[in-house]
Amino acid sequence: MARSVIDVSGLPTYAFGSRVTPWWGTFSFCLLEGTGFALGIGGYLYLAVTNKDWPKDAVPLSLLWSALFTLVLVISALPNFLIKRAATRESLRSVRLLLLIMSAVGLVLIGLRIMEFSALPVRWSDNAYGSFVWLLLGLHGVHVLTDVADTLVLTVLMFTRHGTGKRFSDAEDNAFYWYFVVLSWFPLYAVLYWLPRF
Amino acid sequence: MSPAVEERHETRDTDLGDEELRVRLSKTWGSARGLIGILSTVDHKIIGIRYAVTAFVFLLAGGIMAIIMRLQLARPDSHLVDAELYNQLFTMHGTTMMFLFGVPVGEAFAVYLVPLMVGTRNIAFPRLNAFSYYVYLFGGLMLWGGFALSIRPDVGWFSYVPLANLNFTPGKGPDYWAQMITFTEVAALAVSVEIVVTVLKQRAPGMTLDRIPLFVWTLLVHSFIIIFAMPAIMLASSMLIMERLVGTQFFNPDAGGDPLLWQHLFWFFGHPEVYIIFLPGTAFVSAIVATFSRRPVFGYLPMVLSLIAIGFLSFGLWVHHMFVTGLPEIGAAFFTASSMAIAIPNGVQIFCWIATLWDGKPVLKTPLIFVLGFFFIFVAGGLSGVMLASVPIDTQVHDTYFVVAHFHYVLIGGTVFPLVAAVYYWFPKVTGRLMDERLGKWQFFLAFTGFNITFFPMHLLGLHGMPRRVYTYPAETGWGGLNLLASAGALLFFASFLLMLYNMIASARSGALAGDNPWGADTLEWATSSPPQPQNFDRIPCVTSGSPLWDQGDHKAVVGGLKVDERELVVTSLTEARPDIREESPAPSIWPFLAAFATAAAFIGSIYTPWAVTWGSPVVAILLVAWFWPKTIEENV
Amino acid sequence: MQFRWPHETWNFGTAAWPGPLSQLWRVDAAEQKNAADQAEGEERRNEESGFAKNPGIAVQTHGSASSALYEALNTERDRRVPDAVFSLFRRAPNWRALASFMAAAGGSALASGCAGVQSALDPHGERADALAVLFWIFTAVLGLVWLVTMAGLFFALTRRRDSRGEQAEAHPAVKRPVRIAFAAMLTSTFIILSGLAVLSFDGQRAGFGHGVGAAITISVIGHQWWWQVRYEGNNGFETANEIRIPVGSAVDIKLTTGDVIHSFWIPSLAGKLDLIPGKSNELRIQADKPGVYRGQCAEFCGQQHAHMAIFVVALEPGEFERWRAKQAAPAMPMAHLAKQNAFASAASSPFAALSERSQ
Repeated sequence: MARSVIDVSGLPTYAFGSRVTPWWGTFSFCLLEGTGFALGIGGYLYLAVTNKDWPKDAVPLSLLWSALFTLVLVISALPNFLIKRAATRESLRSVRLLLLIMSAVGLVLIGLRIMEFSALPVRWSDNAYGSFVWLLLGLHGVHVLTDVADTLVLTVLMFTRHGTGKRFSDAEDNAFYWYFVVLSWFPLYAVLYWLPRF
Repeated sequence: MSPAVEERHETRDTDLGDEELRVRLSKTWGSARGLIGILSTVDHKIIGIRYAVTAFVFLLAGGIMAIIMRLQLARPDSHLVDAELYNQLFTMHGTTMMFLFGVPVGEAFAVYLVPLMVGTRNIAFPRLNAFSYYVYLFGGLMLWGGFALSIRPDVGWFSYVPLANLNFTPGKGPDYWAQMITFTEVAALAVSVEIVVTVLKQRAPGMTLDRIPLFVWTLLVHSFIIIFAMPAIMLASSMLIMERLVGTQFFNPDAGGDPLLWQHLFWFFGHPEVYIIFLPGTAFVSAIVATFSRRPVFGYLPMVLSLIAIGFLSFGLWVHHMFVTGLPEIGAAFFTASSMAIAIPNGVQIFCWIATLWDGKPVLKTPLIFVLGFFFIFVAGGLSGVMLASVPIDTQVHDTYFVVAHFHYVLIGGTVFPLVAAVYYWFPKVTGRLMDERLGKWQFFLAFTGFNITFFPMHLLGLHGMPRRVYTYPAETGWGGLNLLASAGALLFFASFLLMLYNMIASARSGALAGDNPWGADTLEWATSSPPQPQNFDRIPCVTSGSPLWDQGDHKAVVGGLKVDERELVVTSLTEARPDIREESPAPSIWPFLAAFATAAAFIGSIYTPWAVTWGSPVVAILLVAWFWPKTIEENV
Repeated sequence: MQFRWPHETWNFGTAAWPGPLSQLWRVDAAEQKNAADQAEGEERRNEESGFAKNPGIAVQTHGSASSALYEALNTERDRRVPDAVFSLFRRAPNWRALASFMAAAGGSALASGCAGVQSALDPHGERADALAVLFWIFTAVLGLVWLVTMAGLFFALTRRRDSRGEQAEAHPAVKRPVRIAFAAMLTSTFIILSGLAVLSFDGQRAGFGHGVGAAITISVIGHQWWWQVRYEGNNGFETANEIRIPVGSAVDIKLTTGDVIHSFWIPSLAGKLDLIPGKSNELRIQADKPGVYRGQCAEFCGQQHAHMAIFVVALEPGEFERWRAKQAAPAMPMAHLAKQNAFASAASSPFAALSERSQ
């Protein structure tokens, strides 16, 4: 009755990029988190337009720490790209080294984000502008934090006996998500740091 | 990939006969016994049933709230409940029905049926699936536990600021409400991601895009709507709770905020929410109409395109909930046009279903009868929706019982009637036994008359000036008679659900045995046993048609070469569903439960002190690491 | 003129509930010089839907504030109340009573078409008229659509029946009539929706456009759970829960709120509009006939939302001017008011505003 027509025994058990399910999972989460960012920015702009006192409330934020943060974030795209490549080639040595670099970069970024917060001229409870600055900066901060934590765990994993096979696919997936963290920062940076200056 | 490892798990499904294969696979894919085993399971069918049962319990709870409200409103100037309790009741009724019943019950069917319909062995990210269920459960328990402890939100399911702010509503009620929202949204988002990935990547070989069952298409669109809509409410509810707990100023006009910002965010979610609840209903209708007309639904392409159009348009309507806030005229006009436009894809769907019935020879079993009730009620509700889309008419009927009537016609007619149909239709698959037909027809009679007696008069009440959310009304308004009529109908309607409950319990014990495919349906869930084995299919089917069970006859094409002692499933390519990878599906794990528990504890703690987030996060993080940490070397290959 | 203040019947807080509200504004309407025939007409309709009036409550209702006319109307009404409805509550339910109640209720649903004291279908102003007409057009067109759809469904079901055991057809041919019907359905949907949208835009302009300046501007400020009404101008003054306007002139209502969101709604005169913190909305109303038009807050605003009613009293222009002049005159002694409303709480009392003080 039943007859096999397709033999799948020769197929690989993992792959890279959009061939595997985790990539689509990460992609979906990027979609929904991106929607969250877009709505957050939308809310900020809505108040900027409807509130008469907005220019008075919207004190420009200091550019120093945010500029450093942005710079480091942009530079991090390079080791991130290299991880993606090394993972696809399953080169354990390179992946280990690059993950160490990315972990360090991530920790630096968290430090810079903390400095950004401490340099804010408004508190979240001062006015709606302050609330939005803290919300948006915090929202992005949480993304940085979670991906750095993920990177750290992955780094440790790569130095254990589990650093083989499918773990390379995980490393690649992690690098994919980092691009989202980098890209989502640009609109936030423009809105938070530059919009009030015009 | 070391050869030694490959060696140990050599047994493939092609090596075994049917009987032995079934036994071996069900051992590989089964869940352990005992408490830990129960809490560790990642079987989408078990979790789907849990979702459904929990959602039905909340339906009953929300229904009891509704009955108490109807008893209060049955007579003018009634003192059965006071204003305070009434406000709590309608808040809990709306919140429960929308967040704890309406959305999760759709998820329940999606989680149970989609993997079966696309012909795979488990949902994508099954541990996330288990996690999502526990988060939903804890969210619901928190809200109702709070209710039992007199921590009761009483500002409506929409929690408009500034009424929901601390200075107008002290106490913890709205905080519990806001956190419960976050819980259920996390759950819904997680399930949506799983469904999207399951549909896109785990379809059986050969199930190309144009062979995906309409049911699955509908839930795919449904999941995308959730992915784009729910972040709005998560953002909004987080903002509300921050406003209440740490003194942010998002909605305070004296500090540059705007109470309308809440409404925009809430309804940006809130209108798609209606479609999030309604689309599973249309999925049920598509499946049931096809089966009982004995042919595929007319117009596959128009149906799919309509679904996608509904998905897009549902995001362009939210302002019609805000027509009376004094918007600029041109903006309101745009939303009138878009709100009316969504009637077109809905009309196309209705037409295609009726055309299917026309072309076929409909078999009037209970599921189809409930679907006919759906047509009668939902079309009326949809048309009164066209009236609400008109700004001038809306200024008269907005926030009156006309709107109450309208959305109950849409949501009960559009979702609950198809849902009951779906229960009768898939009950044999889930339990192996058919539900009683005679009781089903009685239930339909009760539900249909009860529903219309309850909700039709509400149109008139609204036009006669009765606003929503009033706990009583003076006798001289003349609303007493119609209210009494509505209350009588509500009792009938409620009784219909008790009858269904009885039918379910009785039929689960002693209903007629169903067999694999009692309705002679065409989709893959009917190709396996009732109830299905843990592995869903002993051999993964290959699909060559949009109606595989009607087209294939005895000639079942299947996949061969999967490992028997590991949880392997076939990942296929996006559009053509060509087999691509043998991916390992995660095994049962207790960590999702523990992580959900810790998340719940941190969320509830955060209502009392923001520091709960600070000390809760590391705990959750540690549990997540434990969840994802590979336990064996085999998990790496 | 003897006018009963609606606020005397108004109450708040659940603790000291003084009993059912009196709705004496109906009597006030009857007392208006030119409203006699209107009241008569309304009464006749009430007789038809008389079952809706609970005799028990009606007797309580007039309470201390009874008037001969009101009493007479009630007696008239009591006699005509079918017993079935209320017997359900007094005795053990019985099926015959239930059945006759259903019949009565069904009849009332039809008969009560336009008889309402707070009804969008009982318009008494230009704007409400336009809205009611629009409503009926939509109802007729969409009702027809519903009937056609149901007819289609009925036909689909009865066309060929009796098909048990029918073999499923996986690839049925798409038949020509179905294609034609599909095209017809799509076209007619587009045409109907476009037509309704145009009507709606037109109604929006007619119902909400602001033409020349209104004769009078009144500020209404929403509070939990009462309405503060301020007549602007040099001789401004305030009232609460009641707006008096002259018949036949456009009146602009400026809507703001003192606390949460409320919604101002007098169905017989115009559609509703919200009162939102930090925002000012403006609504134009106009009454064609003298009378008292009831309205109530339509946006949930907290515990006593259900009791946040407001009354628009439309007076003949001359009478309105006399009333206005009297209000604008220097403050009158108000001791009697304070006494009368001992249960009012100090903080959110509307009665402070009711002192008819001039500004």
